[in-house]
Amino acid sequence: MKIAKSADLDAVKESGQKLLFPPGVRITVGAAMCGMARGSGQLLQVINDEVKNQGLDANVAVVGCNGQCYAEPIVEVINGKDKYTYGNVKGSDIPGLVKAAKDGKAAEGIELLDTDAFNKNQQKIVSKNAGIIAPGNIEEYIANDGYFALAKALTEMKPADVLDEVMKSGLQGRGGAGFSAGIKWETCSKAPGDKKYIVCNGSEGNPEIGMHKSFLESDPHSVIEGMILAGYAIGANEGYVYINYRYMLGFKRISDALEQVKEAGLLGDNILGSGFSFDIKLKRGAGTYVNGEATALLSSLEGSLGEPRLKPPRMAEKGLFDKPTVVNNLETLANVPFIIQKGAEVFSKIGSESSKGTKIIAFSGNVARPCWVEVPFGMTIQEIVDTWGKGAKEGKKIKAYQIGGPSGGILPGKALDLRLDFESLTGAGSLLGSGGLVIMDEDTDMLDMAKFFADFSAEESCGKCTTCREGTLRLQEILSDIIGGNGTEEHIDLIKRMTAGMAVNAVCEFGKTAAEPILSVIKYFPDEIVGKVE
Amino acid sequence: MSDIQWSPEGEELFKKLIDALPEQMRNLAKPQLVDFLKMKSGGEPVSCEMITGMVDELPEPQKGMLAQALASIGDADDGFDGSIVEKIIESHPKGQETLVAVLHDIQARFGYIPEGAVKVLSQKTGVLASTLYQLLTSYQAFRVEPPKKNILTVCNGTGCHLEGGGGLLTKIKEKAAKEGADITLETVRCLGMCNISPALLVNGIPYSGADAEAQLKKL
Repeated sequence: MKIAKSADLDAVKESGQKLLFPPGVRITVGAAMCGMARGSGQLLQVINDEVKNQGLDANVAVVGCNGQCYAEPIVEVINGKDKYTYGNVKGSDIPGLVKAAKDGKAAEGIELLDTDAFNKNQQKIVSKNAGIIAPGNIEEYIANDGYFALAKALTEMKPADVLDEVMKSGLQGRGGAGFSAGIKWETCSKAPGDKKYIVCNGSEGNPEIGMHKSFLESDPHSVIEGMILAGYAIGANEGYVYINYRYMLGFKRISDALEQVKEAGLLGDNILGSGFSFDIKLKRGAGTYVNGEATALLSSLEGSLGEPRLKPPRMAEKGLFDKPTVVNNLETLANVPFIIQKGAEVFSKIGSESSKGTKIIAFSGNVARPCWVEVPFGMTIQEIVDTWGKGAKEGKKIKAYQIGGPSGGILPGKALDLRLDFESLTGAGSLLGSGGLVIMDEDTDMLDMAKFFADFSAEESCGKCTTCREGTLRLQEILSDIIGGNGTEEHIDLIKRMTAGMAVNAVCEFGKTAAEPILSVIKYFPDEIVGKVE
Repeated sequence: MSDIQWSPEGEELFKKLIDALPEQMRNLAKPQLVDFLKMKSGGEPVSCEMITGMVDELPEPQKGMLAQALASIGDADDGFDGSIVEKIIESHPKGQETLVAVLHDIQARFGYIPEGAVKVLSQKTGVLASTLYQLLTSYQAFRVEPPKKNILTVCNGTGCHLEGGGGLLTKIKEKAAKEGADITLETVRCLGMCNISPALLVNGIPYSGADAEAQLKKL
C-alpha cells in the first residue's frame, strides 16, 4: 500500500474504517504487557479457536491498553452500534462471550465495564487510539485520522507555520520540566548548521510509571507522526527514538510500525511529494535513571556513559554529535498531530490558564484501582483520585502521595486539593514530572519511604559530580543510622545543609533534587523522622 | 533418544544443558532440541560444538533461553569463540554510537557479557577495555557474570514497594540463601505492571507477588 499523495490517505481511511467497524463482529483483546501479565496472551488463542468453532464472522484484533488496568484482561465486542467491554475475562468465559456476540447481546456472568463512564471526564488527545486500534496496523491508525496531520503539514503548510502553530498552542514539555515546546523548536530551527536532529525521549527511567511502555505498545504511530512533524518544523531530516531497554514488546511494536510507515512511503525520501525527507532510528537504552536527563540521553546515544553535560551550550544549539538538537518527551510529541490537525486554538482551550492541554496520570501504590487516564490540566488531584483511582485500598485514608517522581518529593494527603498544572505544583514545592500518581495509605512508614528514595538516588547517581555522588551516599548512611535508632539532631541538620549544597552545586536536576523526598518527610511528617532522633 | 547418535562429551553436555533449563520450560524444550540436533547431525554423533552452535541458529525465545542455560553451566566461555562476537559487531553500522546495541546483542547471545567478548570488542572498535567496563558496570542492563538457571526480576518501583515489594525481595533473598536456590536475583526500577503489584518476572514471565510464592516453591 503506497501513499504518494493525500488522496491516497482517504482511500486507506475508508478501508481502515471497515476494520474498525466491520459489517460483522469485531472482537478486540487488550494485549499490552500488563494485559499479558494477567493472561490475555492465552485468551487470544482461545478466542480465535472459539470463533472458528462457532462459525462467527469476526475480525479478531490485538489492541493495546485502554487504561483500565485493574480489569485486565479486557475483551471488547463491537457489533454495529453495540459495544460490550468485558473485564477480568477468563478462558472459561470465552464460549459464552462468543455465543453472545453471535446473538447480538451481552454475555452473562462476565463483568461488564462501563468504559464510557471511565472515559467521560477524560480528554483523550494522545490516548484516543489506545485499546481501540491494533497497534500493528497502519490502516487502523489512518482510519482514525492518523497521518492526516502530516499530510496537512507537508502539503499545505511551511515549516515555519507548523512551528508557529505549536508555539501558539502553548504546548509544554511533558517530561517534567514543562519547558515551552515552541520555544525549544524555534531555538533549534534558528540555530546555524546544516544538520539537525529530533530525539524522542522514551527512556522513562522513573520508578513509578510505565506510560511510554503503554504508548509504544498501544499506539506507536502517534509517536512516529509527532516526530516527523517536529522534524519538518525544525529542519531536521533524522530522528532517534530512545527507548527504555526493558520495553521489549514496545520496541517490537514501534519497529513493526516503522516498517509499515516506510513501505507506505510516509517515511523516507520526498514524503507525499513535498520534497521533505525523514528517517527514524530506534535506539535501546541500557538502564539508569539519569539517562532520562536530556543531555545524558544524548551522551548515551553517542555510545558513551550516560552522564549529563553542563549547559550552556543548550542542546537546541549544540546537542547530538554537536549538532542542534531538540529532545522532546514521548508524550509531548504525541500531542503534535492533534495540534496540527485541529489547530492551536482548539488545543489551547483545553486545560487551565497556565497549562494547556492534557496530562496522562497513571495510578500506582496503595490505590484501589490501578489505572491510567488522560485529563485536562486544571482538575484537582482529589477529583482525579475520586473519579478514577477510587481512593486507597480497603477504604483507608490517603496519608501522602507523589506526583512528580522522586524529584517532586512527597506531598501530604491534605494537599490533594492542589490543581493539576505546572504552576500549582511547583508553587507547592513539588513538580508535575511524569504524571505517575503514587498513593500512600495511612499505614505507610514514611521513614521507610525516605530510605527507599535515599537508596534510589544513591544507586542512580552517575558519579560525575562530587556533590551528588558523595551527597547521596551520605544521605543513605544517615537514614540507615536513623532507622537503626542511632539518629541525632545533628543528622537532621546535616541533611538540610547538604541538600542546600546539592541544590546549588549538582550538575543536573537529578542531583539538585535528589533529597526532595527526604526533605518532604521532614517537613510534613516530622514525627516519623525527627521524632526518631535523640 | 533412540535414533540420535551422541558423542560421549556431547551427551554429557546435553544432559547438563537440559538440567540447566528452567523447570517450566524443560518438558517442552527437550524434544524440540533433540529434533533439531537430530536434523543437524544428519546421523553423525552429536558434538559439543553442535550443541553450543544451536544458539546461533534457533529463533527467539529458544535462543535466549538456551543462551542463559549455557551461560549458567559455564560453557559459553569454554573455548570462547571470538568469531561470534566479530559477526555481531559487523552486523551493526560502524561507530561508537552503536556500542550499546552491540552489547545488547552480545548479551542476548551469551546471557551476559563474557570477558572474551570485551577483548574482541576492544580490538575491533579501538575502544579501551576499561572504557567498555565503565559502560558495562554503570548501565543496569548488562550482566558481567553468567546468570544462574533462573532469573528473577523484581520490580523495585515506588508503587510496588508500597504494595510489599520490599518484603517480597527480602523473602526471596532469605529463601534463596537458605535453600541454595539456583537463581540470579535482579531488581528493576519499574516494570510498568501496577495492576499486579508487587510485580516480578520469573524467567521473563510476569507474576504478582502473591502468585510468585507458588512459583518460587518450584524453583
